[in-house]
Amino acid sequence: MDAPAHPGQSAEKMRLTACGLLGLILPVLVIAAETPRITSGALPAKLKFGDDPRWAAPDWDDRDWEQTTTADLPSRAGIYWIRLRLSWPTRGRVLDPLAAIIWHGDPPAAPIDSLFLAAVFSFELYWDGRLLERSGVVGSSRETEATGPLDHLVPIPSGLSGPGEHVIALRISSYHYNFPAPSFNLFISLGNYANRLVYEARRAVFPMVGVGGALLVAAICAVLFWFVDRRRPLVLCSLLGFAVAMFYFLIAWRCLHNDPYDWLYPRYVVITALMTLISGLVPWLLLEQFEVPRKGLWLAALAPLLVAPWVASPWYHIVAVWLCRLMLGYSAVVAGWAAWKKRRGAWLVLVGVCVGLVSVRATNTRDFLDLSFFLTFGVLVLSAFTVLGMQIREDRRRAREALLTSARLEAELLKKNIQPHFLLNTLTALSEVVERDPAGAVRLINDLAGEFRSLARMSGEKLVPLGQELELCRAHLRVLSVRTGLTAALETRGVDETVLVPPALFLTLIENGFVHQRPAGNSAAFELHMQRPPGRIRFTFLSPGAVKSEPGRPDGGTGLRYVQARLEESFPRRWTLDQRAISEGWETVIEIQNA
Amino acid sequence: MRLLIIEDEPLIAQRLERMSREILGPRLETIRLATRFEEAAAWLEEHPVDVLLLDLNLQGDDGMELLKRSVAGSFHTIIVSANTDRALEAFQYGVLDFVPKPFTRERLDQALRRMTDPAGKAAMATRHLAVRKHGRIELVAVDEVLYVQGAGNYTELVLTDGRRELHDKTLEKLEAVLPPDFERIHKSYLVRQSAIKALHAAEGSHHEAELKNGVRLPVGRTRYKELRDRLTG
Repeated sequence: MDAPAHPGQSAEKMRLTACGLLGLILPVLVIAAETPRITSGALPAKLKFGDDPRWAAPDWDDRDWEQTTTADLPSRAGIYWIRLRLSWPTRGRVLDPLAAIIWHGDPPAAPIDSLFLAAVFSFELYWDGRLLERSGVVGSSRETEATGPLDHLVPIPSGLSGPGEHVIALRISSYHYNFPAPSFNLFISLGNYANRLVYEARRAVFPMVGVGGALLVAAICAVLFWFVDRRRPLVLCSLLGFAVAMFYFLIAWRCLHNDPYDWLYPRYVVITALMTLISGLVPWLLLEQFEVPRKGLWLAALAPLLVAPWVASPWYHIVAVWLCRLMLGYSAVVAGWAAWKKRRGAWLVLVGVCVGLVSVRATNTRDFLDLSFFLTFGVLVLSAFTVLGMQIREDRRRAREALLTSARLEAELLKKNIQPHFLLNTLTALSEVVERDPAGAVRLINDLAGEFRSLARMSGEKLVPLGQELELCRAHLRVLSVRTGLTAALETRGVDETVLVPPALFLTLIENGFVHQRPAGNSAAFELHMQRPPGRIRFTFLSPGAVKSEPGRPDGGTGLRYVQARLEESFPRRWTLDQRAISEGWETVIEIQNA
Repeated sequence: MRLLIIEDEPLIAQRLERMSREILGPRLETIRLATRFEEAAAWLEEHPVDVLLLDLNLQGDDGMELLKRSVAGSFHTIIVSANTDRALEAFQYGVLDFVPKPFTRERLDQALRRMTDPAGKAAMATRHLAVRKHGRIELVAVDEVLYVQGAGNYTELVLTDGRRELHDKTLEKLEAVLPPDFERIHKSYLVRQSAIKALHAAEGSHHEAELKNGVRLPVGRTRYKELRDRLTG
């Protein structure tokens, strides 16, 4: 983009220190950065304060005028005139980067028939003494001056064109120039009228494609958030999409509407503010997306990075470049951390960030708000969006799986005591008791009924009060006591009966104890000890008796899988289960966090 | 009759013992209760038994392994189990009966009667015979067995490919679990009926059955007529 506002000498230095190297250049960016111009850089000019219509004459003697360049014209300094001498170039060049690609840098000779000006002032332009263009009304005060449009494409009449030297005289006033600088830059170039029109028309294409893409991403994220998944990254991604769309729209705006020259600076300020917003949203989105711990701390570290460029430089483009760099650097750290932690899609984002870093590094600050920006933000937003999609798909898969697991666990819970082995053996024992001890048989039936009642109440529940679970365990132990002839009991310590636990959690551990251990003597005393270390609940369960030497005890059986699946269902990734043989038997320690 | 009961639940074990005593009465010579197979195996080393009442959780490999060890023994095995879905499999390994839990006295009576009453012989589905070989238990497919030769307390399985395998059960016990296709042609021979090619009346009252592979086996006098009628009929 042609930037008429030049920061001047001191800013030039800042530009050098701030903008980094131009060495690493992507092929596309070479073209973007090298928008060819006939008059590149500053042109020598003569300047004289005051106002005299005769100064327009091509042969006016300006030898006593102040020598200056088009890059350093005083702003808000009353009416003055400048005079430039242009030698007619031998051949015209193509402005359009796309055309340059097509013509491999060897453009066709297009006749020069127009003058292009980007002017942040009101003026009258005389070409060899003839008034060719008037922009606004040149005035001697802010009140009397009227602003004119920013960009001008002025056809040069055929009688005035041609080889040789031509004199351009400009009558200037710039009371509405609102950049915070004492001088400005006049961009002026000769070229082919038709070429220039094509170039101007194409300049809006990339940013407008960006607007469309970013809006689409924003809309999709908003819809996904509203109808599918209320997760924060979707809101952030949607906001980011809108911000990027607005950003691109403001970039494209210059090609869509010829603003008065005093709109340029406010537009740049808004663009830079949008960049700040984007530079905050991208890292925040990544932090949320990759579930980085201590998000608050990270965000606090981000804030000064967003403020620093504003403080360090009054120049919008330096602020923008630095915002972009800091944002990319910060994002690279976040994405790198996520990749290290093997977060889903982290590599994709890291690649996106690196593409951004390379393109920003490779870009000339002047052309910064151009094609490279499209690349940087486009790739970044798309990669973040893609990763979001991947994460949502993964979560939905997990949710479906969890649903299936839930159904399976419920069935398993019911099966636990309706399973033939338990029920039929109990009935066999019962038939013997009925014949020998009718009263005992009634007790056994009662206990069995109690166990079934507990189970029926629990089926379909993901969590039950510990009291209910203990009741179930005790009913089960009473039934087993009759069957096995052992005195089986469950002793508890420090137990809070209102704490919620998955159903049949301890029942399963008791069953496992009976299957895998041989009780010493005639009693089997199970123990449950509950503790509350900070932020956790710890259950220590002791299953008495010597462990039978069987393969597969440590992590094998269906019982243990049931316990683990139930814990994961109710406390995803917030539980641990450890077990080991101790002298008294088999100890199982279950810890649940933040319960 | 000598009985061994393996059952880890005392109530059920007592029930089995009580009912066995009632059913067998004076025919019961000894009865022994064990809670685990290992414990029973030690007893079996010293004490011959006729029938083993085995509570077997047949789920998993362990169950099948115990079943194989059991049927390889010289005694009959009656499974008493809640795992009725594995009954067919148990029969294929040559158990005498499968009594589902919970059981009645009548059902246990029926199972024990199979020991002594040939008429009570069901259409046995035995498809494998377990044999001890080099300290391991191997399975022989019943389809491969041509005939069985009694040899005192054990038997010799003669297979279609000519191999011979020793089996711990007596001829009588094997007859009880083998499919009805196996015919007792002699006090020492149990032959697959479909393998008999011809019957020969040799000199005197000596009869022989010629098998399809040319082997000739003696046929008991009392069994000859019945066998001839069946083969020609």
